[in-house]
Amino acid sequence: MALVERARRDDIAAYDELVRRYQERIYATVYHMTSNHEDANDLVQDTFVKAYRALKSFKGDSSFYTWIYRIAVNKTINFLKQRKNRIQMSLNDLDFNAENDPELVALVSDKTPRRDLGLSELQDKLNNAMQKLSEHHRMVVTLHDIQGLSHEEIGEIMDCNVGTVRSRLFYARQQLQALLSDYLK
Amino acid sequence: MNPEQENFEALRKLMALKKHETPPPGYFDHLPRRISTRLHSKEGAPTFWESLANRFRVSPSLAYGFSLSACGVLAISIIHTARVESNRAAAQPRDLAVSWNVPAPSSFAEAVIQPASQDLHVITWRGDTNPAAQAYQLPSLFAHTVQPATLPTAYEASAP
Repeated sequence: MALVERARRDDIAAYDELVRRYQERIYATVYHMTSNHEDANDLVQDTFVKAYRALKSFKGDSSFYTWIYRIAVNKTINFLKQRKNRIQMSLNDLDFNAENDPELVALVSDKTPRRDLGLSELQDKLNNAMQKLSEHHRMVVTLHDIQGLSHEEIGEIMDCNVGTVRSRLFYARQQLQALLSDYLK
Repeated sequence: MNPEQENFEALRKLMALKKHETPPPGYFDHLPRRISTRLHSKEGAPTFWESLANRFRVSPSLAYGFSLSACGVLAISIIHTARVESNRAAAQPRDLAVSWNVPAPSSFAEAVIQPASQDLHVITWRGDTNPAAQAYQLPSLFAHTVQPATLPTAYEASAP
């Protein structure tokens, strides 16, 4: 909170530290929503710039982490509504650990149709399925199943109650399950 | 574990693949510098109106107070205006009756020498716009010739 206070007094070095602290989580959220690195890069920068300009209106009744997440989420949802009909994926490479993840190795070496797929092809199918979800459903899946946030945190970020978060999560999982049924047997 | 949960478990495993999608190497080393550059360039700095809006956002109670007092001032001015108008309306019929019954002045001098300025105003207006009213007969500047009572003494003395 001391960093936030310093950043509020136009201390850019303090804000730089805040950026370093949260950049990966904000980037991951935006990237999993857009499935496009370039868009995610622009949105993350815009988010941090906007947050800095709006720091004076940050009242501190929620954590800085929740507050900046909310800015990123709103920016991303607005962006996705505008680009609705021109989805262009620009996926990041999978890191080295993916090939050593036993669960993922099991996924591509099982007896189902996915046995013919490499990890990158599976990644492509998964991102395509994600893009078929509505923005709000995709956001809930991203924040919960990929980022590991709690229902309460998601409710606070998305400005809705926990019941709504749960029902969106359930519906989104059902949709993903249907879209990826061939790879989940 | 029921089949549905089992399926979601399979989905969860598949979703784990997303966690391994990482941006190009060194991306997070450069991102803070890019953001810092944009901040130094004053890009996206709020305009005067945005600053004003932000100020109210900081304190919604101030915004409510301001709007409430603005509404109060508006209401008071409306009530005051209505009261003044009603007082004027109550006083007006008598004035009008008097003014419309005032005979047209017979001369410019009479029109000008009116004790109350309001009456003078009404008369002037009536004379200007009422076609039935008699036009004022302004006295001619040349109607009266000045006849000195006595000639100057010097003139008498030097007269032939």
